[in-house]
Amino acid sequence: MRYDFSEEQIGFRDEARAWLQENISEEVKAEVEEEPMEPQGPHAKAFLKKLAESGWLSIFWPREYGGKGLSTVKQTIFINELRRCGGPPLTLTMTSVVPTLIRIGTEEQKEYWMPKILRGEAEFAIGYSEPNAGTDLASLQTKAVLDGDEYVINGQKTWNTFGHVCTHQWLACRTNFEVPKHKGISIFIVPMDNPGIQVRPIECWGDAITNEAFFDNVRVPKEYLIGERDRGWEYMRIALDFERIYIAAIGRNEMLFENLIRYCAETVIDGEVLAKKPIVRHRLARLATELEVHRLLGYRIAWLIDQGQEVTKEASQLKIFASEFRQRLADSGMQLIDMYGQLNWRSKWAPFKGELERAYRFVPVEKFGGGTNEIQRDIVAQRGLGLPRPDKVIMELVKKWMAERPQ
Amino acid sequence: MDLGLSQEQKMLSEEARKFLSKEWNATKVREAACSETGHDQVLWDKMVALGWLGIIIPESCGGVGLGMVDLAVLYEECGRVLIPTSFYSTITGVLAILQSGDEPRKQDSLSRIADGSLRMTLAVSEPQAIHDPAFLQTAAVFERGQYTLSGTKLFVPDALASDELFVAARISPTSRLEGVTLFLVEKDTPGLQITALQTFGGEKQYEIRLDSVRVKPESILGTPGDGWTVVEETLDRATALQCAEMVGGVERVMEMTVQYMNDRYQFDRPIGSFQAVQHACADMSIEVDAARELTYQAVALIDQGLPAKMEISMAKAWTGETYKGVTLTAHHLFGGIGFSREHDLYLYSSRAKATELSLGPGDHHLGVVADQLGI
Repeated sequence: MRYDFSEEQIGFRDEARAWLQENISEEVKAEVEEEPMEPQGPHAKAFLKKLAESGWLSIFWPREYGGKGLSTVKQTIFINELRRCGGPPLTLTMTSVVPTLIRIGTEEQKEYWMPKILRGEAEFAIGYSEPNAGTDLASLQTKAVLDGDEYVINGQKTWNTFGHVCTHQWLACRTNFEVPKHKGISIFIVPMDNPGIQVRPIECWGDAITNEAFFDNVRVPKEYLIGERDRGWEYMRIALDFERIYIAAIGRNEMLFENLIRYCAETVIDGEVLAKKPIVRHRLARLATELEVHRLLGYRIAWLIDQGQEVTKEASQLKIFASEFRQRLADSGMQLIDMYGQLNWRSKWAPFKGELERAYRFVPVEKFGGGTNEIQRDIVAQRGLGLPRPDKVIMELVKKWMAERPQ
Repeated sequence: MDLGLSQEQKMLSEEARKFLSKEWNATKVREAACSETGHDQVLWDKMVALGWLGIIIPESCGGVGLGMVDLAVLYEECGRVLIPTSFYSTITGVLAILQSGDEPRKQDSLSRIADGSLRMTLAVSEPQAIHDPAFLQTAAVFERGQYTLSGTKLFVPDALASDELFVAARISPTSRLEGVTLFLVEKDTPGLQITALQTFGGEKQYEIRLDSVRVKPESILGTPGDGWTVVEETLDRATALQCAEMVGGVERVMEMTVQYMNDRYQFDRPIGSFQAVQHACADMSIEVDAARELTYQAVALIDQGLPAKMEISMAKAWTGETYKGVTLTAHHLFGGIGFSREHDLYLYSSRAKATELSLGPGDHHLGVVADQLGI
């Protein structure tokens, strides 16, 4: 047992850090600052392309798809370093679609899509939610009907983040109306240049842009149905585990906390250094402890994946903890910086470029996105701890009540 | 990074669980709490036979020569079933001897601890000094070739069950900053008076009055005046191990609670099928898993000889809050049955609160974390 990094892991981290520091220019950093969640500036895009071409993205892929099969622990180290060096976040394409495709795609699909993804020719928006299928995701109604060698897709998606900039949709559609709702869903890849797709952006509190997407008789070859037909729910669960793990990436919180602690150590208000006040010290120590928990839960998942273990419970636990911790961090931090907390990030007076207020405005989506934290708690309780599923319990009860009903 | 236990450690853990489930139970916990010393000689002898007392004692001193992670694995299993604390107190003595680097003491005491014939404890706290050596008042005056110890120690664990005590006393009463020295004092030395403290959970803690207790210079552990370094390092290690005990306890409480949520029916269904209950359990599981990771991180860092002060304090602050918090949530979920003394839950709730407070409550450790953050 060891919790520190091995020399080899430290070597990898240093190598990654050196490369990132050399290649993340001030222009890239500025673009990331402007649009922290989905930077679309030319420098950030060029950097991501270079990242792919230099092999830094694919080294975590299995060897048969051009990767080097590096461990998930190392991938976590890398993602962390990427954020710490001011780089753009990895897209859901890299963090959710790729690992899912590797697990569930057919060989032909992997051979076709993985190189395209690596070349930046396939960047995905995730199309799961619909106006009437949010937390109850399996109720989704967008349908795909086979017509000859093509599927014809009709329906509407919402909260389609990246929809306005992506090249493809990773789309969940109903392919079977004759079976229970969880068993009739399939996953499609849909190129955005197909006729019949319309996207309407929705601006959000946290400066992010998400979208509604409309599909009107959109036709895709039947080979674009990923994996097997009607197994989409299972695939979405795999993809969501990965999405949750990535939502909870540690690097951002480490940076935010380091900036906060530096600010408190350097700033004098009312004649006293902030960090000398007992209440400030106490808050910072508590946040440091929670940050350590976040870090440990994150690396635990990476390590478990490397051991070949299932991490559904752990991914949900991490997602709950990380999102709620980030909210406490942003909220506490804004109180620590007092009146400065209300400044917009564009104000020259905003401490460390207003990172706190931006985190504060963005973090609600981390608590409900990728499956609400309530659903995550259900998953932990039912799949992790073995507590009974309420719907099954109620079904049994209804049967019993029906049987007991006076004739 | 390798977050798992080794095969050997897994086996150690399984064997310990099997052994303890056979040899120890809640009835015995209650009996031990009512007894004068809290000690159980039958269990002790069997633990000695398994080599548990010597687990971190070097083979050259009659021990098994394993590491802190191995010991933590045992603490976790012991914490699950609330064994008498004389085990932990004696191990704290072992840690002090190992930290002091005192070769004659190692040769003399460690083999007797490993073979079960010597039990020890550490007497540091005083009525007005808990964490800061500057305020220790117990004095050791050197005259005619002997030291004379006078003062009052408080919250000394398992003093009655111990044969010998390490007493922290000041050899230079004029200075507040130096002179703290650890003396080995036999329990039946004239002038040493032990009075049991009335603790709410039946914890075996004592007040010790030292009234001109005479000891020889050879009874000094390590270097005179260097005792606080040993105390600090010993208590850091004891704290990490206590966290492992607490992890064992809180995991057991989680299991009991989840089991009962499955078994207890209201409104014709298991109460564990209600979302309000499920979410409470999910939150507990996150806290418990985190406590486990923080704890084993601290222990593993110690084992590797890496700096661990901040990680130990993070582990203690978190685990203390978690063990206590989970028992309180469990009381709520169990309702009346868990409140009754016929149920075992309160045994854990008492130990949880006691361990939250002993070796420094959360606020103390967050203070250490703040120091370590350099603010």
